[in-house]
Amino acid sequence: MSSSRRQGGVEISVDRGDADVLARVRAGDHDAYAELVRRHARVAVRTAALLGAGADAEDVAQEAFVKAYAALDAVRDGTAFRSWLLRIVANETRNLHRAAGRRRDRERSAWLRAEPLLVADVDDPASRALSGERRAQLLRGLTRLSPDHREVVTCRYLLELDEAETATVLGWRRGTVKSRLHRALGRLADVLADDPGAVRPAAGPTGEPGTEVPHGG
Amino acid sequence: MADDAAREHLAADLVALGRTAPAPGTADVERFVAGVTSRVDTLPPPPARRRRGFGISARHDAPKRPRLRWVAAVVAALLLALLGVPPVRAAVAEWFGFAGVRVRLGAPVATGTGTATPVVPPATGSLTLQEARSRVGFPLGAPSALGVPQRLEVSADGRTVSLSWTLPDVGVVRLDEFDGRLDFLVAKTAPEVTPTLVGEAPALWFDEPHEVIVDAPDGTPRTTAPRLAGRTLIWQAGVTTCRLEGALTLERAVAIALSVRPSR
Repeated sequence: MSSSRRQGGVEISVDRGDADVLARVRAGDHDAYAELVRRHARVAVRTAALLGAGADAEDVAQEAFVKAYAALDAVRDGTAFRSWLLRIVANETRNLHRAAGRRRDRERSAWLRAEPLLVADVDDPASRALSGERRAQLLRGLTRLSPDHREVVTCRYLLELDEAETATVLGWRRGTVKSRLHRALGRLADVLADDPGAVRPAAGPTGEPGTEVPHGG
Repeated sequence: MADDAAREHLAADLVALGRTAPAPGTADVERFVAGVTSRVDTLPPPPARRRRGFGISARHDAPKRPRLRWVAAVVAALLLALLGVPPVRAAVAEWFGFAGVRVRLGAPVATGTGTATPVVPPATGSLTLQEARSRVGFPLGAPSALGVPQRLEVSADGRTVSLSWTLPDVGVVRLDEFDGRLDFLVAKTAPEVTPTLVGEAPALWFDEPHEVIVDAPDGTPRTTAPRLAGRTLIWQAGVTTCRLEGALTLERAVAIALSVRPSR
């Protein structure tokens, strides 16, 4: 099914697959769009959730796929589809918090509600390296950032998008991504240093016993 | 202040945090896909298939959801009108970047009436930038090329800030600013749109008179009659969408746009 090609065991281009599927959608292949949705459903839902859509993450992602379909001709080729889709997801998520004055508060509470979503998967080595307390502390810290700062940190690190894709998804210039990211990290470090439940970022995978403050949350 | 090592460590922890967020399982994904396809099935086929039919009305299909039908209609209208103009198609790709503005291409509005000459209305208030800033939830900017605004108002709903100047050679020049994170605040119907750039930021230039409708806060078009607008440049400055209107050339409008500095 996948149209990505292999040569000497090396996958040349994953995105090539999107281009082929897109061409089929445009040619009127009814099932092709479902395939495109299947490919990108996970990243779309995660993006919505991590950008603050909370319990609405799936709805937001679905809406984005429907809008993307309606405007499909705006995508020049398959390489751009994911970034373009995630940009719609980001815009839809912002629209959830539409009232300008209250956006910050509402995003913050959406984030707090989303916290149970971020449960450690014990089989994932990456999550084992992060103590439960450190995770909670990072989440608390993120809720205290401005929306711009939280967005850039979320795209660049939590979602692991590169700088160019982050710029596309958030609709900013690359220079803006770079400078906001720099400031956001500094701000987050400051916020974490003030956190009453702070665990010093341990060099090793385990926090030192005794550094936990039980009532920190 | 965090040093580089601390930043790197923090970044690594954030990546680890992101990986603890569970992605939907396979069953969830299939349910999700079914949810999308059931809705997509009610939509017209993707715009590319409409290319052959130049005369197709953008509204000729009637999908069930009004809002989506609207999106499809506008995009189809855009695409229909823009076929064969590659630079404009690039602008269509950026279309979602212009949160706050929707553009519908239509017949030239000034033809036939003779009296339909756009008049640029000056802003009505006399607030200072400082006062306006305290009333709105987005960053305001002011073009140094035009100096201190002569008139300045904040709309009653607090969503738009309007600045105006009266210049000796071209008369009233008006700058409207609003939060580009809100979608579809201003609708425009225009016979032609020219994509351009303000610095690196994509922008749209309306050379001909066009209709402007400002949406109500709930997203529905306001009941007030559309206003006929003259030459207009629209661009984004950060999260703020700016709309500059006046009897300007494109070059001069871009120069003014480039001189907008955040006044925060």
